[in-house]
Amino acid sequence: MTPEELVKIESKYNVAIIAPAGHGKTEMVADMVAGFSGKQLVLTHTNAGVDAIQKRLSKRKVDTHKYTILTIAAFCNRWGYSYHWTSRMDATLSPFKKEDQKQYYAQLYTGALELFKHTWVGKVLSSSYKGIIVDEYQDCTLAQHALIKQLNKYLPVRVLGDPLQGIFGFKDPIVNWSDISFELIDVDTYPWRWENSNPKLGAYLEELRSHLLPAIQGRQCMISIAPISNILEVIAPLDFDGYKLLRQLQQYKSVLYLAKWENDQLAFCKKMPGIFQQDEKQDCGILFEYARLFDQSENEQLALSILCFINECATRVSSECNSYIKRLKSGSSDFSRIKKYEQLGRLLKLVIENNSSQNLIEVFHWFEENKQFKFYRMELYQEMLRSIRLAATKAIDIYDAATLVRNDSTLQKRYTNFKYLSSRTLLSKGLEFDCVIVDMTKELTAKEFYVAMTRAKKMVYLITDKSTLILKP
Amino acid sequence: MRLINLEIHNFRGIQNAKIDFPMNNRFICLIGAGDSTKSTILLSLEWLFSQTWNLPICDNDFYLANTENKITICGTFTEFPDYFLAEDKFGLFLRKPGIPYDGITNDEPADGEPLCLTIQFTADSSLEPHWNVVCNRNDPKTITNKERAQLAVGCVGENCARDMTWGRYSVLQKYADSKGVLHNAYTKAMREAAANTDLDLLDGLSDDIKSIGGRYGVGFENDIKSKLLIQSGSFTTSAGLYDGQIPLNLRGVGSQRLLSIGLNIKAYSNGTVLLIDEIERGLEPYRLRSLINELRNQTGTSGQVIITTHSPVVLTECSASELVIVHSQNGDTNVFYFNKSDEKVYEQLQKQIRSDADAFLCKALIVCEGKTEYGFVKAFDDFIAQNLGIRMAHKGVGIALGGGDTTFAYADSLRDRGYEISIFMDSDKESDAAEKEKRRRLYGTTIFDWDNPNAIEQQLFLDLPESLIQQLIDITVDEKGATAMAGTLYSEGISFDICEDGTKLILNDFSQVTRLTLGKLAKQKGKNGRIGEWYKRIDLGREIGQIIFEHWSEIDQSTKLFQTVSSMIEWVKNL
Repeated sequence: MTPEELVKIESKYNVAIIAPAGHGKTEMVADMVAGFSGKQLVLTHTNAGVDAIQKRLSKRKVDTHKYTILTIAAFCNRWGYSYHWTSRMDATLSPFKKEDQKQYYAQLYTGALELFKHTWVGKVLSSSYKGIIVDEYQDCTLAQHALIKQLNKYLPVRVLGDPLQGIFGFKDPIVNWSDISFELIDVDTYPWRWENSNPKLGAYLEELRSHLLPAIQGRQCMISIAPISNILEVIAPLDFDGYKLLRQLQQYKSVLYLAKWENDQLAFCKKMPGIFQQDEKQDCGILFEYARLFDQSENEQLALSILCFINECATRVSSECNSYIKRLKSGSSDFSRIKKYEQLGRLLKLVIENNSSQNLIEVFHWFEENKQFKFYRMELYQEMLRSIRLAATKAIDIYDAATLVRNDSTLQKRYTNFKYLSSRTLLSKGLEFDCVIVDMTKELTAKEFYVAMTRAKKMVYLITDKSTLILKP
Repeated sequence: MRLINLEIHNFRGIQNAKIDFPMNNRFICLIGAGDSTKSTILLSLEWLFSQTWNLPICDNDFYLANTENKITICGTFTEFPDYFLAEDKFGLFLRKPGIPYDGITNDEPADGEPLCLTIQFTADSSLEPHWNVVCNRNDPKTITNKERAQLAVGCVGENCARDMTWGRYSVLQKYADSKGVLHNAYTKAMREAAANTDLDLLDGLSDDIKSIGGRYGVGFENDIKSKLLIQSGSFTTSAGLYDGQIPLNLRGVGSQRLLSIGLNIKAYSNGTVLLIDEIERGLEPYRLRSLINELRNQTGTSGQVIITTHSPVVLTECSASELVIVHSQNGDTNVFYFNKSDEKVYEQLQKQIRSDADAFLCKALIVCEGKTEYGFVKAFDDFIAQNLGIRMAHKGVGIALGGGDTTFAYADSLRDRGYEISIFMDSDKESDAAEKEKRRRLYGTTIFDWDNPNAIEQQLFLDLPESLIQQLIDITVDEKGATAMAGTLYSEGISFDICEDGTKLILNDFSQVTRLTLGKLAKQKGKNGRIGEWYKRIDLGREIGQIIFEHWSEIDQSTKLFQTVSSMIEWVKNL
């Protein structure tokens, strides 16, 4: 941002700044924190977002007294529990218990809103901060928006976001950019993300954006598709074969496959096992399903559950281990006549005799080390292993451990080091990849399409047989 | 800043204390008999807000020197600097006034009520002090000595000589810092001190000090300058204020204390809490009076002054609602206030403060119905001092004037405030009997009174031997004149002779009827030219008391007079 822009923004009591993907939004946040007088409260949505801003500010050596960065939820949590009588929050609800989660988040925002209505809270806030900056504003739910409006009664609020990326998939409705009632301010931006990797792709995406803008007003968009060398390759769905493409993909450090639905995402992984890995959503249903199953089964049942779980994560389990599965299904643990994988037989026997977590883990490791089986849900597999270990050390159910592993920011792990990742637009927000394969066989919406395309730094492969895409907003 | 309440456990003479400071006054005076732990209360506040990072704690600082039970001092206050409101300071620890720190009760602030913070000081057998900000919701959060220094609490006690020098904890330096006067100038000057510079840079305060002095009644001969202090013939490494050639830390205690008070108040813009132990020390009554009024003006809308005193001069300057009465018993310290809920009782209290403030510095009080009784008890005090070697004051007993009809309510209100109470009153009103009985039964109150239906005058004229009755008549003759008295006696048909030069009336008749008549005349109001209310003044009450006690051996032991005085002796003895 230019000094003039900063002065202008600082002089307003509330502003909304539109920053397209890859146009240095994080840098703008850093500019404001560094340039504004006094301490800023910086709010965003995800822990990943907090990390990104924190890293940028540290890199720029901005005085730590000039900011506090939190997720909106963490900020509400801090206040709600410090004043739980006024906020009427139920301190027994935990975001780390699956059965509580929904209620927890509902009361978190209504409780915080109640609290922030008190003028004494305003006094504390205005003694603590000079202004509030909210990043990724397009992802705000209506409840969060109401909260920020309330805070605006005490402090100036500056929000940044891109309405074209507003595709949060939770059930709560998200804020409509056109009626947030903050003053819109134009800031000169530049597609920094592509500056060093492929400036031409950056330019192409800017052009693409201009055709997608009607989506913000809820109108459909029309885009003509034509290949451009070193920027965009178009492949008809029938011609699309991942293995054939692999030689070209090898040159990229990271490749992302994006599909409309979870099924397509998984089907693609299965087609290219051991190469593409499934990107799991945070509320990973199958993880919890099996965690509960492990908690509830014992002996032969437990051994069978393990095999079924591994079967979800890797290829060939059901065929290669068929004889074990058959016996276990009939409640038998007599593996004496099975000659194949005798070591697995011994390990399963140990599980049946003693359901200890160590014995479970041994079976897991056997599969991991046996190259016969190609893993395509490595994240799911690893998360289950972590849950079993955590359950053992904390002496809690695996199900509860899994909830912690997926929700507690001190335990959360991000699986971004897979070279080939299969995902969906919602999960890929904020991430960058050298190359992106956008599967339009089942068509994305205009906003999803924009998010998908802008994940690429160097090259995009588009799977479609249409020369003109007509996209829903 | 302003203190709202204070809780102390196991600190010196206090095992348990809970003190709510009056919210309608910013000037507060702690009073109470000796060893009522007033000074410990002030010291606990000094510790709670101590600006040093450590304190020299020893075993004797624990109640009964028992280090098993840790010292806790917990104080709630409001009107603190906005700096403390910040979220990363104590903005998440705000509290509502009047809620205990128990971890259970809702103590969250409410709009329209002052925002409070609570600091807790603790020290256990390791003798290491800890200061935390606490509330009923979050884990305690340490408050550093630098943060405590931002809270405007100043103490005027033993160390005011220190305050006249430049140094880390001296109020002079605090003041200079608050006015942005070059803390560094001092350091710089000290460095150059070897080169014999005088400390001109520090003298920006000269006029300020002079004006503070003017305000609190301390005069100076010359300009105030900072110079190196000479101690035992050598220069120390510290500098101090000089009035011409005379260092201020050699001025009298009173002057030093006054300057220290002035600097303390001025050191903080948003209102100091000033703690002054034994405010009368070193001050003449006229300076004391003007100081108290000055302090009260200074704390009009911000800050707070908490003093202790043993001086009736100070009390006389106070209104009853500014007083906090401190009582201590077996380690439990209790405090009491006079509020204005009962207008008449409050008026009586205020009157007592003006006329005989000493009473409030006692543990026990004989509440007298009227002035006659009051004077009589004064004479009684002299009597037991001479004959039994007991002074009421030594037993912590004072005398309070009940004011006739308000006597019961007044006595009740004193009893409610922790004073041991007895009541000395007449028995001439039928309605009083039930009231007396109620108090005897409910509170075990001792009541000194007479046979029904006698007032003190009636009882005396019935019980005294003839020679003393004559002396009582002599008093009235002296007071009102022989002629008027003669007329009064004559109109009631009492036989007497006029003798000598006509200044004396000699009674001839001491019959029961005459005694009854005399008692009635002495008690009732004068009318139709007759003299009434013969002894209704403190000095007259005292005079008849003196006559009676001079001839105590002549009093018949079966009389009510003898019994009542005997029970009064017993009561005082047993306190």
